[in-house]
Parts: sequence; structure tokens; C-alpha cells
Amino acid sequence: MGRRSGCSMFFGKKQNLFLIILALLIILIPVFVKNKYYFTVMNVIGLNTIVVVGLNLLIGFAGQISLGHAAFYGMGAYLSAILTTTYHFPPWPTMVIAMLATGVVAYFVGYPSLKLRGHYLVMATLGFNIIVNIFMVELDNITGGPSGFPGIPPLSIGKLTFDNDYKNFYLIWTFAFFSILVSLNLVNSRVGRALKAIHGSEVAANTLGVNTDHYKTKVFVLSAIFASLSGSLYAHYLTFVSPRSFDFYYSIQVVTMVIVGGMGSIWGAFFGAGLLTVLSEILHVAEKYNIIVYGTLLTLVLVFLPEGFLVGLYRFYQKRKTKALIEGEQRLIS
Amino acid sequence: MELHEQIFQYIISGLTLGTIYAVIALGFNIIHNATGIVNFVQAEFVTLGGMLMYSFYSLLKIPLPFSFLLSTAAVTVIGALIERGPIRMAKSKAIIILVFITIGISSTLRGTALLVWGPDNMPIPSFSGEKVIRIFGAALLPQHLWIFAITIGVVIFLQYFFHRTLTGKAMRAVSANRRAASLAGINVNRMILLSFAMSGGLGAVGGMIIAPISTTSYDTGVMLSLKGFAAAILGGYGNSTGAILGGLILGVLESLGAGLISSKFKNAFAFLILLLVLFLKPSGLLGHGEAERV
Amino acid sequence: MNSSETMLSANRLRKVFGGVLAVNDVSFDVRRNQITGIIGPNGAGKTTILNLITGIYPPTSGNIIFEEKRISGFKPFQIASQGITRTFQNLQVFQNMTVLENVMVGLHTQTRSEFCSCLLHLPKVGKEEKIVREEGYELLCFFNLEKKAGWLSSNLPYGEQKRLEIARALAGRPKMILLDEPVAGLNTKETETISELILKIKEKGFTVILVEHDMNLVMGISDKIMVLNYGQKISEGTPRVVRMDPNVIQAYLGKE
Repeated sequence: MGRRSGCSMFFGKKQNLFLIILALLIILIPVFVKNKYYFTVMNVIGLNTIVVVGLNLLIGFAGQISLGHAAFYGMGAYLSAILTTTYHFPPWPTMVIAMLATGVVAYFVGYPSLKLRGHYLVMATLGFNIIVNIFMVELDNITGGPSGFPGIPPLSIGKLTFDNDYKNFYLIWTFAFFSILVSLNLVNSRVGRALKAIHGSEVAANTLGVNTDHYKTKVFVLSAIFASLSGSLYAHYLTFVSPRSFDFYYSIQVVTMVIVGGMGSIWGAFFGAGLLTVLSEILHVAEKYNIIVYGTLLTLVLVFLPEGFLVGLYRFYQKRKTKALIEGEQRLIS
Repeated sequence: MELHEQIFQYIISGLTLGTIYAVIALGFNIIHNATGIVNFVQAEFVTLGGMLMYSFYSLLKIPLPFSFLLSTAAVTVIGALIERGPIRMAKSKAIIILVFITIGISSTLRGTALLVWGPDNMPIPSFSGEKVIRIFGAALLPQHLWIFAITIGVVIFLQYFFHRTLTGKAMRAVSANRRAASLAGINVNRMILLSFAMSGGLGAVGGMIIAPISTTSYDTGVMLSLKGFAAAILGGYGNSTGAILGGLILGVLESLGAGLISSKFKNAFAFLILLLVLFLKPSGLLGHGEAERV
Repeated sequence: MNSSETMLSANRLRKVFGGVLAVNDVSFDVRRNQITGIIGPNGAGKTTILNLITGIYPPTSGNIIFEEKRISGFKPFQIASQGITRTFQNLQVFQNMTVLENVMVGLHTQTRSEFCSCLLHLPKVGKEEKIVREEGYELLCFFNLEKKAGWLSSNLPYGEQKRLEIARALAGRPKMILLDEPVAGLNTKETETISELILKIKEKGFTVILVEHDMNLVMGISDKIMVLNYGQKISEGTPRVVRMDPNVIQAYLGKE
């Protein structure tokens, strides 16, 4: 029958191996690590991973840019916060409601913008982010305004309440694991190929039967839903939300994570989220350096390794292998 | 103050703001027309204009006109360096990558500005005093007149440059059809370099003329340039008359909205207008649809 | 017998771009299971005709009927599901995907799994994937590309990428395939390979529209040829007829 296509990123057996390793890490880390601060960082990595993996589907696979995902993240966070705290809705259904609401909004923002060229989508999403952020600040009776919204109840399943870093680690990382799994499923399927095709050549994809507008919108909505989920988890974890976490600087940060990790690679997205979150934490000490370091790193990676670290290295290895094969063939002929 | 006087006042201040948006929009257009990229460093061109002005004028006490020229020159050079450096060196020429490179550079420059000047506002005095001038009941500051005058000067200069000079026409050729232009002997890379340099200068001018009447700090340029971009889209992206029209209209609408409806949501107006334009008529007021030939 | 039936008919097609009249009142028929060639000097409107058929843009006036259904004015993806696929003059192989994956995208119209089923990797998705992969591989074998199934398609030599594009267009079992300059930039041997391939495709029952500059190829394998110049049809008929048509000679060589 011939070899399977082993050259799409981490396909088949390798992928399953990574998933198993991740699952093991998630189960075992809390057994060996006891430092509370590390848990906080890992939890933030987990939250970012969910957003970034979803965003990567949009940017890396479908090739569309969004600079407004902080708004979807924030919508999940604020909807969960407000509905569960002020109106005493049950948290889990609220999370689903928030995801649906965010999805609907993403549809109405995405559908018209995605029909247009790239930079229109950038501006539409950026503009949308700014508007949402302003609403978060100004509708202060509902949202608590610039000083934020405190007192959000933690999530709980039956008697088990997720009210510390340790328990939230399991909660957040279970969701992170499933978002990676689900994304991998999507990527290695007909839909994933269609998305990559759109990125490769939108016009060719269209002539092969892919309804490109439809697909672009759907993946945009999907990525918004991922962000919303993460936002809800964020709200219940920190029990406090403020508008500053959801401005377009955050949108730029998550896009940076996608790009540095490698567009078009789910594991790359995870890696990007991890690396840059840790970097951010390290820089927190000297906060004034945060912006310049992020900026320089983003610029350097984009200029020299536009496919991102992991993907860049992988492609490099691939090219080497191909070259060797071609040279081998040439030697056979001559 | 009666309502119609208020409205007139809002319109005047809106026009003032609008001219800044127009200048910034023109800067965006120049680079986009030459390269197809959205240049996010525009924000920092604006910021640096104001910040350098502060350093030259308020700190080093260099006379005003020289400070103005020096800042413009400095930012023009920075624009050129950005094109020569990261943009030219980029391994991938894909537009999305280049756009994100500009986002990266923008962050780098903003971070640098933060380190050099700190997070506080830098006060810059008005170019010729603060004596209020009354025109038809509306209050105008001398700085407003400077803003109008300098902008008109800039627009006239650009018109002349693009339509009467060989270089300007060459740049327009590159925008229309890069390959044909290069086959006609035009040094495309140099034109692109020039487009970045000019955007730098334009951004700096915009930043400087508004600096005395607004806050000037390491991130002032961001909001201003985003709105400038919105103005460019409103007017029809890539179209210079559109940029001016878009800027003025956006400024006036924002001012009226803030004054008559709610000032809390002032910043949201510009972006709401932007979203409306994108969804209803993305080619803007004066733009034509973009067709993609296969 | 069905083999001489009209599969597609274009009626009084006009296409205006800005001020340019790219296609001017062109009508033609394409017969089932035949190779119909379209030739003409550069800028004659050949690719525009292909773009009109595949729905890249709608005609300014006129219509296109495919198997008794009107297709003009529809979007490309809709026309693809009606059974028309194509290759491109400027090669639109998915450079970011492997050779096999390119062909698998070609099978998009033959498969059904959507977002939700794919996200959850429902069993039916797994089954479909296996079928798609196998069919794709078989197709690569037909095109002699199976050894490079796992290669990133950007690493393929140009000639093989052109072949891949044809393979991809055929994957979705179209009724009709449009080839836009399939041998542009290829050497004699590669051109011969493609030429044989096109004949094999015809043998398998497909209908082909071939736009080309290579006269030997077009004259050699077409059943019927249409000649365009400045957006208008100036000749039509078998290769022999067209070759000797003074209008055609004049268009290519200029007035004597």
C-alpha cells in the first residue's frame, strides 16, 4: 500500500506518543512539584494554550489574521463573571452560554470581514477588540469598570471545589489537553486539509469544492469559542477579572505565541504559549523591559524563522532529507 | 452656549483632529500602495515625532523650527532603516509575515521609547502661544491653525511630489504594477525604501503638530494611528483624497459623538464607524473594489 | 451513443474588466469525452474563458450551460461540485502540503465530514479518511507520483508539480477538467509525458478543455479546436481545418 504521509506535522503514531506524554505530565507534575508559584505559571500557560491552539487553527491553518482574540477571551471571562456572581447562574452552564454567545458574536464580526482581504480582517478584529474593551471599562455598573470585577465563585463538581492553584491545575490542563486533542483531530481531517488548502491557495481550494468563506468563518468562530472557554476558566480561577487583561496588547501576545511556536503546528502553538508565558513571567520583574523584549523576539523570529522555531527546524530537517534523496537519485542515474 | 454654537465648536475641533488622522492615513496609504503591507510602525512614527520634539525643543532648547525639522528627519531615517533592515532581510515575503514584523518592530520601538523617556507625559509647548482665537463663536487655539496650515502644506507637497516629480511618478508606477515598473527600469527597492521613509516623516509631522494639545507619551501614537488607519479605510484604502476625506469625516463624527452622545465612549466611535464601513462598503467612500486576477 | 453529446455550451459570453473587453461575444460547445483545445495569442482571452466557466468571476453578459444546468453566476466551489475542475496557468499547487495531501483535497467534493464530526473524530470520519487516503494514493500511482507521496509539494521539480495539479483536479471524479497551459515551462520529454497523460484521461471517459500555446501538443491531441484573438472567436474546427484557416494564420503571424 505504500507509506503513510509522515510529513504532515506529527501525524499518526508520533502524535499519539506526544499526547500520552502530555497526559502523563499533567497527572504526575502535581505529585512532584510543590511550589505554588510554579503552579500559577503553569496554569497561565494552560489558559494561554487553549487560546493559542484555537487561534493557530485560524492563523496557521486557514491563514487568516486576527488581532482581536483578547475580546473573545474577555467575553468568556466577563460573561462567566457577571452571570455567576451578580445573577447567581450555575457556573458550568454559564460557561457554555458564554461560548455560544461569543461564537455568535464572532460569526457576525467574522463573516463580513473574512470575505475581504487580510488587512481588513486585522482592522476589523482590532477595532472590535478596542470597542469591547471600552465597554468593559465604561459599563461599570455591570462590569465593575477599570478596577475590575471581584468575587467570582470558583468552579466545582459536586463536593470538589477548584479553589486553589493545585486543583485548578488539573481543571485547566484537562481542558487544555482536550483542546489540543480536538485540534489535532480537526487538523488531520478533511476539514483541516481544506483549511490548509485555503491558506495554500484560496482560489484553487475554491475550485476544488471548498466553500472558502464558509470555512474561514467557521474556523474563526471556533477559535473564538476556544478563547471564550479559556476566559471562563480564567475568571473562575482568579476569581477576579479586569479590563486590562483583555486589551489588544493581549491579542498581540497570543498572536506572537502562535507565530513563534510555528504557524500550522498544534504542538508548536503549545510550545509558543509555554515559552512566551514563561518569558513574560521572567520579565515581570523588570516590567519595563517586557514590551521591548516581546517586540524584538517577535521581529527576530519573523524575519529569520518565519515558520516559527519548531516548524522552522522541522522544515530544515525535511529539506536536508529531500536534498539527500535527490542527490542519491542523481548518483544512481549518472 | 447655544446648541448650534456647540455643534460648530465640535465640528471645528473634529476637523482639527481629523487633519491629524488624515496625515496619518496618508502615511499608511503610501506604504500600502507601494508594498501591500499594513504598517503598524506608523504608530511609533507618530509617537517618536512628538517625543523627539520634546527632547530637541524642551530639553535641548533647540529653536522650534529646527526641532521640527530635526525630528522629521530623524523619524524619516528611522523609517528608512526599518525597511532596509528587518523588512528587506525578512526571509519570507508573505504579506501576513511582513505585517507582523511591523507589529514586532512597533512593539520594539514602543518598548524603547518607554525605556528612554519613561511612562510619563512629556509636555510640549504650543508653537505660538495659547491665546484663544474666536471664529464665528468657536474657540480656536493658535495650535489648531498650525495644524491646518502644516497639513495643507503637506498635502500640497505630496500632490506635487506624486504628480510632478519623476520619483513620485515612479512610486505611483510601483503601486500600480510592480513588475512593469521594474521592467521599465525603476528601482523598486529604492521606491519601497522611500515609501517607508516618507511614511516616517508624515507620521512624525502628525505627531508633532498635535503634541502640544494632547498627551505625548510612549504610547500616544497607538490610538492615533489606529484611528488614522480607520480613516484610511473609511475614505477608501490607498486613495489619497480618500485619506483626507476619511480623516476629516472621522474626526468630525468622533467629536460630535463625544460631545452630543457620550464622551466616555469617544474612542469607540471611531472603531464603530470602521466596523460599519468594513461591513457595508469595505472599499470606503472613494475606493474601488479590489479584484484578484488569476 | 453518448460520446458526441454536448456537455457544455457557452452562449454569447462577454466579460469586461474596467475598460477592457476581455471576452467579446464568444459562443462555443464542448462535446462529451472529447479534448477541446482553445488557442490564441497572448491576451486573447483564453484564461478568462476558463475563469468564467469555473466561476472565478461572472460574465458581464451571456451564459454557460453545463449538462443542461446553468452554471454562470455561481461560485467556484458550487461549480466544482457540479463536476468541473481545473488547473492553473500559474500553478496553484498547495505548496504548504504534501503531494498526497494535495490530492486528498481534490477529493473534498466526494466526502462529507464537517467541523463537528472532525473535531470529535467520530468513527465515520476515520473510515472516510482511510478511503480518501487510499484513493489518493491510487491516483498518485496513475500519475507516477506515488513514490513522493510524503514529500512537501514545494520540493517537487516543476514538471512534477504540474502533474500533481492535474492529479488533484482529477481526484474529485469531475465530469470535465480544464487544463490551463499544462506544459508551459516544460521540456520536450515532460511535455510528452503530459500529452500521453491527457490522452489516458480521455480514455478513462473524462472530457477535457485544453488551453495551450504548444501547437504540436494541441494540434496533436485535440478533437476540436477553438481559436481566440482579442477576445473573439476567429476560428473553430478540427486541427486540420484550423491549421489552414487564413484568419488563424494571420492572427499568429500578422498580415502577409
